[in-house]
Amino acid sequence: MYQYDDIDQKLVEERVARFRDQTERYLAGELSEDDFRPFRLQNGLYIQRHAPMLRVAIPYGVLSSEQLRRLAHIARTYDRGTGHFSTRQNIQYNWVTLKQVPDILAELAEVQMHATQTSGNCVRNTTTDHFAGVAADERLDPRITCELIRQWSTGHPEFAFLPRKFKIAVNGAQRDRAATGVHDIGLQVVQDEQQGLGYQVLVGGGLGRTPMVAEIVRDFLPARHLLTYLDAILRVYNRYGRRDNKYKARIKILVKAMTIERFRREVEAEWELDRDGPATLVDEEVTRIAARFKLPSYQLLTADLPESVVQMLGKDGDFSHWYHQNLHPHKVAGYTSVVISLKASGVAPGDASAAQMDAVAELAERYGFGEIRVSHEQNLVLPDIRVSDLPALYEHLQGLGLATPNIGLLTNMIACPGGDFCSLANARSLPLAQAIQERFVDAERVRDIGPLDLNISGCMNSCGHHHVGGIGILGVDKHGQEFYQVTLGGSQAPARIGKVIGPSLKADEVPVALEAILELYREIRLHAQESFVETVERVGIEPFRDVVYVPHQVVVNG
Amino acid sequence: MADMVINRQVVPDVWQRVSEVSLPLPTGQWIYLLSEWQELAERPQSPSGLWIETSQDPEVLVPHLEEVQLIAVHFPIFTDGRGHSLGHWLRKRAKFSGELRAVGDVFRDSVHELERCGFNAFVPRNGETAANLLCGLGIFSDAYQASVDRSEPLFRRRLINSSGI
Ligand code: SF4
Repeated sequence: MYQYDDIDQKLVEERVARFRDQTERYLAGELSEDDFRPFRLQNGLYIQRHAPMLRVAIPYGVLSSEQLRRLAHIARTYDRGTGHFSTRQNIQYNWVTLKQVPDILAELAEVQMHATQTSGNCVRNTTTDHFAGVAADERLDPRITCELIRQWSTGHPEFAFLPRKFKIAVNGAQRDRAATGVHDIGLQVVQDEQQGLGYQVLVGGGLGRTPMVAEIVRDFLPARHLLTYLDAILRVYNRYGRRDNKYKARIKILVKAMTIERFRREVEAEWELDRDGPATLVDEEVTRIAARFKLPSYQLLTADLPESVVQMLGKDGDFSHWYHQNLHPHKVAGYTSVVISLKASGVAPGDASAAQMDAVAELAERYGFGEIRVSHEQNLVLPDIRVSDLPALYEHLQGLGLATPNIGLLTNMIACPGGDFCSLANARSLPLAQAIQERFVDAERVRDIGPLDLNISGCMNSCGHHHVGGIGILGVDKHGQEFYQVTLGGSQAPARIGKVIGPSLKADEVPVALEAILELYREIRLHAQESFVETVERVGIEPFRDVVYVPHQVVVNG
Repeated sequence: MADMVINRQVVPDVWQRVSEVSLPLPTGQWIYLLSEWQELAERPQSPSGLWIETSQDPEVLVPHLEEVQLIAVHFPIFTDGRGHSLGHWLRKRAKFSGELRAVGDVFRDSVHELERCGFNAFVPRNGETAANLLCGLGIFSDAYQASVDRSEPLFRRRLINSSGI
């Protein structure tokens, strides 16, 4: 993680003090609900169905073991012992009380954490690849870019009240694990032969009511111009973005209305005025930030598979499944990254208990370098594990109920909190996730279905990113009843929006429909390596529609 | 005269809006709508100001910036961030150096960001006091970004500190 210096620390403390003062005045009746709302949102606090919900930032998904322990402590002390890891590298507490939030923020500040700008119409927590800095296919560590953006966006006075929320994602690897194509701004690190390091800048992607794939606003931006260029984009958006209708207020609507060509001209003209100005980055600052990330001191190991692991693979089928499903290639020989699935059957996707958080922190210290990552798939990652430690680590995880071998598979589904917690929901997502888990308990079949993202959102706000799921499920409200719309063929990278298969279904029809869809896929795929999404791309959604809506299987309800 | 804040001091507001009185204007310091200003037969002798809404394009002010001592930006609601970019534009792009005042939905919790965007004068909304506005200013000891109040971002100052200059 990036370690704060005195100024970073002071700024986060001053922010807590400001919010404490605002909360006290609100509770004393000196600050009205309307005046307080934007400030409480900018400090992560929503008013939810049952109680206020606090969303804490995990900047670009990186946590130290000490920080994870603090999150556990907060879950235990201020909540009901659980935290919910969201799809945006945040953690949410669903049962806090408003009065205690300033204390929670103070506890977070002690470990260099915060809930700054995790909601509200401002620049949100920047997200990136959960294997940042360790992935074998990485071109450049995106964490430094993310920290630069974190500092630039924190308390940016000009962009505190944008037309709508604003999300930035950064990817530094060959494979885009940050979904840059569906963010307000997406940055792809690129290396140009002549101009060195820089970014391809995407703009105007997003999910929600009007899903759109981002367009390229600049093909190559030299790295030193990052902040002045972001200022220029935000300024054009702040000035011209619509404020009369919140459903038309995101930057994607502005880009579409202006056309990318005109939007680009405006941004470039604005940028020209600040280009090479004081906010232009200097090498010393990049080096300073890089040095504040405590980089692990890896041992010199061979890439050969240790004998102990070979043996386990030979004799323990469960270990072998986990080994093949939950690991990710590391850039350093003899190391690997381990994904800890928070998607065990019977648990709400992304939920972790305080005890589990403490235990994972402990494992990160014992087997890694005391670091944990949070993925937008709502899982945790131990980024630096020696391959030789895998059997021992596996045993611990199994004991904790954290060794579910389903990363990348159907049961690793993403689901927003939905109607059980969220007051905006049209439908519940957690019981549906549960019903699907139950329908697909046969792990052998799930493995045979292979790589598949299943994403569930409880409403059009799309927190579960259903548009980019190979299978997406969206809660809709019909005459006060819960229904679900199913989309097929979405993908995060390359960003592609799924297609609606037909009229929406009742909750109990969804697992049946999924089964029909996936059985058809297994029948018609060309070979075992053709993934579900590839099959949908090849044959279209019609054959799948036909199996879902045959009269004797599902009664269509509208 | 009601109190307001200018340059972090509580002072009486000596300005009046033309739209709020009937003509002819008595002597004094007047704030004009752009249309009122353009209709004047000749420029007044006394200091004058212009009024602009957050929804207006600030470029309409360009021909008149040298003629006035004050620009009042009206915030219909404090979360109208266009006004923040407008402040930045007036100071950084148009180099306006007179009084830049925020009027409308202005209260203790809204002034910090505005000051950083170049506003130096604040007229409290109904029910708010000038003294209370002062409590909302100077609440942060530093800031990461370059803005109107600090032309250099924090990282430039960090470099100077770390090199011991
Ligand atoms: S998608 Fe809708 S229901 Fe789900 S968390 Fe977001 S706002 Fe709530």
